[in-house]
Formats: sequence, C-alpha cells, structure tokens
Amino acid sequence: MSKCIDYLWNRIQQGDEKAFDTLFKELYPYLRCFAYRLLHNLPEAEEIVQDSFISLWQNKNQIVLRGSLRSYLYQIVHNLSINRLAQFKTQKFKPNSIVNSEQWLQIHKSYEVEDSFVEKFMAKETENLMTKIIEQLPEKCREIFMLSRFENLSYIEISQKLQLSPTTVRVQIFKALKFLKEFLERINR
Amino acid sequence: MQKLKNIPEEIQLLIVDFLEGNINDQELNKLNQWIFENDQHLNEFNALKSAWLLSEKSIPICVEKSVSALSKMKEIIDQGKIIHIKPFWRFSRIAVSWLIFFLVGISASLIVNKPYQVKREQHTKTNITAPLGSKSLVDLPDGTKVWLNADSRITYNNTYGISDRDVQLTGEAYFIVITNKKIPFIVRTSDVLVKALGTKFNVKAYPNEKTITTTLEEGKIEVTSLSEPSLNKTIFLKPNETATYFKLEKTVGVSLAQELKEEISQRIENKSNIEIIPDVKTELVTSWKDQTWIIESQPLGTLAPILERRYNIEIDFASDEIMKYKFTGKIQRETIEQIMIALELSAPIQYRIEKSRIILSINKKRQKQYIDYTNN
Repeated sequence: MSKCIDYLWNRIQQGDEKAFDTLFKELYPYLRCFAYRLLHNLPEAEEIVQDSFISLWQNKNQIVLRGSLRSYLYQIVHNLSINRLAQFKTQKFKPNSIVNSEQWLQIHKSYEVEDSFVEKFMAKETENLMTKIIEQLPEKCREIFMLSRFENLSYIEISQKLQLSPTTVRVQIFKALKFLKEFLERINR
Repeated sequence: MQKLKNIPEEIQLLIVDFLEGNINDQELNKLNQWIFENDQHLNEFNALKSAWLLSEKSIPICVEKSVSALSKMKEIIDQGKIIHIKPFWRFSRIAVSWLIFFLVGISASLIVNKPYQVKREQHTKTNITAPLGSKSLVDLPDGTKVWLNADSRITYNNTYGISDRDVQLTGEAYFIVITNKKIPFIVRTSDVLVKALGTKFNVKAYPNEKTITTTLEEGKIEVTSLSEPSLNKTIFLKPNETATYFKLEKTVGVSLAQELKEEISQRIENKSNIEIIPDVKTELVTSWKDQTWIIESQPLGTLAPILERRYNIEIDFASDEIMKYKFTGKIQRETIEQIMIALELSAPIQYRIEKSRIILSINKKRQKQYIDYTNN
C-alpha cells in the first residue's frame, strides 16, 4: 500500500492526472474523517481536504517529502484545520477560549503526524480497538472518557452531569488518555 | 530513549484543557514552556494528542463520497483557484541554531494563507497575485470579476468602490466590469490607461513584452497612452477591436525585434503609438481563462512566453527559425509534455526537457521531408 502510494507520487510529479485521481480516491475518505475530528464541521472539513489536494497538485514539483506522502497529506490537513480553527474561533470552542493565540497555534503546529499514527488511523479496526481499550479502563474513568470523546462534552459539562469536581474529571481524562497512549505504543512495536 | 516518568499534575490538567481548546493565555504559556523544555516532553505531548485524536468518535469512513468530491475539486482546479500553503519553520526540539532548521525544516510543516494570495500594505492597498504556472479568479469589492493570468498582479486601494474603481495591473487580466455610471472602472498599466463603465475586456501588459494590448469583447472602453506626453492620445474601442500599444523603450534585444523597432520608429513619426485592429476573434484573446484555450495560427515565438508563464517553465530555441512555425489548436488540461509531443507531430521540431527547461530544436531529417511535402 505504502509502496503503491510512493509509486503514485512519482507519477503525479510527472503530471499524471490519473495517478492523482487514484490517490485522491484512496485517501479522501480518511482525510475527510480526520479533518472532521479536528473541526467538528463537515463542510469545513471537506473543503480543507480538497484544498490540501489542490495544493499538492499545484505544488507537486516543489514538494520535497521527508516521510511518506500519506503522512505529508495528514500533516497538511492537520495544520490547515488548526489554522481554520484559529480563524473561526467560535465553533466548538467556548467564548473565553484563546484559540486565536499564537502560542496555541505553535503547540498544535509542532505536532507531527507520524506514519504509525496514519496507519492506525486508516486501519478500519481502530475504532473497535479503541472501544476494547476503553472497556479496560476502571469504571469511573471509562464513563468520563466516553462522555468526553464520544459525546464531545467538555470537562465542565461532565463535572456538572456527574456531580464531580472539574479537577477530578480532568485527572480522569488524562489518566485514560495516558492509558490509551501506552497501549497504542505497545501495539506499535 | 529514556522513559518519561511522571508528568506533574498541573501539566496534566493543562494538557486536557489544551486538547479541549479551553485554556487561557497564562496557562498556555506554562504548558508551552513545559512542552518545549525538551524532546521527551514534546514527544509525550504529541503521543497524547494522537491518542486524543484517535479516540474521538467521528463520522464513518465513506468511500463513495470521494468520487463526487473528486469532480468538485477538478472544477475548482480548472477555475484556477490557488491554494497557498507556505512552509513554516519547525520548532527546534533542542536549542540548536536556527540556521540548521532553516536548511532542514522547510519540508514538513505548513501553514496556509487565504485562498488567494492577498496582502494588505499599510492598510491602504490590496495586492492579488497569480504566480507563474497558475491562474486566479478574483471578485473585487463591487462585484467586478477579474481573471488573472499566470505571473500577473492587480493592486487596488481601500477606496475602491467608494471614491474610485482604479486597479493597477501588471501582466494579463480579463475583466467583467459591473456597471456603475458614477464611478468609472480604470485599469492602469505601465504605459496605458483603460477606462470603462461596464464591459468585458482583456488587458495584456507584461513588463517584459514590447506591447500592451487591450481587447474589447462587449461594451465600450477608452484607451489612453500615458508615457510620451506628445503622443498622449485617447482612443475609443468598439467590441471585437484590439488596441495595441507599442512601448517606446529601447529594451528590445531579441531577434524578432528588428521588425518591431522599425515599426516603432515609423509610429513615432506618425505621432501614434497605438494601433487598432478591427474584427478580432476575441475568444483567441480571452480563452486563456477558460477550460479550453484556443490557439489559431500563432507563431511559436509568441506562443512560447505564454506557455512559459502558464506552465512555469522555460523554453529555449536552438535556432530562431523554429519561432516562425505557426500552430493552431485547443489546449485543455494537457500537460506541457503532451503539448510538446503535439508540437513535434505537427512541425519538424524536437524537444528535450532539462529540469524545468525545454529546449526546442529542428529535426533536420523531418524538416527535409516537411519542405519536400510543402513544395509538392
């Protein structure tokens, strides 16, 4: 699969539109889903993925890949989404948030989309895997984490709902996140 | 790598705040400091962010969607929308000198600008550029539409649409001007001023070309030359007419120029440096902006600079006679290579690509056949 995409990239750099179409059809659904996770807005997400591909096509001769083409595209979609969030600071974010700050962008941009992440993201079973990992969490922790990630509630909303202190909720979210991270690192090896 | 033992609870909370997008400046500062303290912290943070992204419930992955999205994107590419994604410096993971990152860091991370390359200068001027190898469609504040050809730029003040409708053009553009009887629409180029009330017209004013041409498709426009006050003259154009202005500089150096030089000196004597050509097939002038670009018996010498801009390449001629071959055809989404192959088929020339340079030379054997054939 990865080899196949490298081959496509070769063809694309030579101006082969068919190869570009193939790449698009292959990766579009995943990138769309990825952008949606970041933006929580489908039209915006679709536009960003589209723009990423347009820019790839228009700059095909200037782009020097450091890793794989797939993670390059994920990286562009990630950064564009973060920029878009900064532009439209309303959306999911609360009015007092500072998403427009330079620093906020800086931290996000330092995030590197790695090949291993892309592979996990593209794996159809990731969702099942996630559910399985989450099932292993202690009950309270699991409940909080599912409200946060699956129902998109903020920790304040969760603390109100479960009548817990906001700090407890955050600590539990972090605990779950760390557990998940370690699990993902283990299956990576 | 050494394993990171424990993240202070304060930072843990801040990370959750950050991922939720609910963090204030002061907190962010603190988090920022921790993240960029060392490599380990940055990696840890990135891994946690990945876990956060992977765990989120999202929309189902829907393969069928991509077909319709593909055709939508193709349309946008054809309209010439330009997406600018500029590289930005990656953050130094270790405190090494910026220079190294200057060299290494350009490739991976990117930021984007607005869809068009719009820059505001001192709050008064807006610049819109279509770089080499691309086209761009722009809506001006009053609804006037401008198609910018490759390597072209328009500039206007923030008074545009209020007290004036002046735009400065370098390069080539096609305008569909919204009618406004009170404020005329004015295009300023290096040597020529074009005034319109509401029309469709094309202006071509590349700095490295010897002429400035204005072609009117619909309506009525005024063309005034600006450079030589003695020749200052206003001409009215009717639809399907082209006004060609001959620049009076001595900068002509390339071959075909000799004829032009003579023409120019003649024109100076006649006290007229604008020539009007009636009954122009305007689609030949304006089709660059459309999906199908129409070419009709254009010598390669004049075609080459257009191709150079359109494809962001360089075309060199091994001998001058090649420039005289004329071509007719339609170009849609062809690549430059496909065009070159077509040229090879229709004239005794051959091409060679070296990086972004194309060298055209005569194919002697085929030239002989060609001459024999045309003589018979």
